[in-house]
Amino acid sequence: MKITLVYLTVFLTGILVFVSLISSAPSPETVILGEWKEMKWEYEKVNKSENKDYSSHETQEQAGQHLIIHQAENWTFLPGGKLKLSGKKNDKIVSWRIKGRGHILELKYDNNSKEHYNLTRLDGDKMVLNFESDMQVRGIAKLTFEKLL
Amino acid sequence: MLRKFSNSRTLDDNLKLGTLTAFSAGMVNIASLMIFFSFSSNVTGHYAILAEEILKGNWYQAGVVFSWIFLFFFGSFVSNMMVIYLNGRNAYFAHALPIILEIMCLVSVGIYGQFFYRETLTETEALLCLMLFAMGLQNGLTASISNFAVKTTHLTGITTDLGILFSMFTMKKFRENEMLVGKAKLLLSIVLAYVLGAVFSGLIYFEIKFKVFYVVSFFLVLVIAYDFSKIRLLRYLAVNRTKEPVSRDPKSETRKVRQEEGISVV
Repeated sequence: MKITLVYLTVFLTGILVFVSLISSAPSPETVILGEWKEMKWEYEKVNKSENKDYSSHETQEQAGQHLIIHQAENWTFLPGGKLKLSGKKNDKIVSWRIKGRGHILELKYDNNSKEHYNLTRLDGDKMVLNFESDMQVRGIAKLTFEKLL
Repeated sequence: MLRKFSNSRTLDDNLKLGTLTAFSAGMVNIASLMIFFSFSSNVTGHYAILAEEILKGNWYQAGVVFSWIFLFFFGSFVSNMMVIYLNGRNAYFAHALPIILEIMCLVSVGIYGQFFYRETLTETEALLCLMLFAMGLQNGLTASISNFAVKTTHLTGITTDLGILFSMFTMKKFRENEMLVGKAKLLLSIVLAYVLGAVFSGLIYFEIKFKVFYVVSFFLVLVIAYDFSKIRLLRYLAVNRTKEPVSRDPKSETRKVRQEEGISVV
């Protein structure tokens, strides 16, 4: 009888910890909703001895040249999995999903192609996305956003 | 493969069980990585991620990772409960039950993914929960019935053991030790099966998507069916023997078959 109580206590504690953690913070799917402004593009080289440093504009032009997001300036995450990418010239609507434990942002385009970004940081006012890229040297590109609405 | 318990198991029993279940685990792990971007058969990395999410103050993510670890633990717990509480009545049933439960979990993931999955984060996390529970069940079962010789869902311990064994094999006395050589064969087979399963899963995933979980379940059905067919064969042989007009004791024949089937004999 005593051992049953001990086991029940342990399992109930486990469930309680889970419920407390989950309910203490909103889901990344909720936090991401709204309009975000691209602040800067950075590039972290794998080999630090490479002597070229890239400006935010150069990084955007080179690392993002094959990506649809690269001409966007504002990203608006809408409920229902739609993302509006607003640029100087035009707007584009794509689909978004969050995967894993909330650490992967998946963008899906009309032709069914997908792009995946690591959600390195996501809170009420700042979002950081990382993705691997081959510019002139191999490295990781970093996009920083600030929330507008 | 499943009937025998602990020290009564041979190297051959462990090899069959180890390779088939490791193949399945490799398949499940790579499928979950490709679909959900998270591992499901190993939890070492999840402990590190849990610590990282706590440090960052990402409590929601910490909760999710905690639930995955907890469910892997719970799977192993349930599996061994079945083994130790039901082993006395029918060892085959006790050892097959966790695999049946695992198949149910994986088939559920397959059916849900194929027909209902809308790719929301909640669904992703719940399906991963189910897969981690299934892997906990499998690892708990194989470790339990093989006296901790077979663990098939993660390779950290196995790689460590292989490193130790291969360093021992630099000495002749260890190279000639059949038990150590057998252990090395078993561990290498598990590693190979796991990697093959992962590669196979990765290849077929692009074609069949969520149906990959039905393929995994098929391999697990093989594990159950193999022993079931052996039991049927042994029963058939026992019945035929008792019909023979040789002065044999039918009770002792039945007793022998029941022992081979893994059913407790009083």
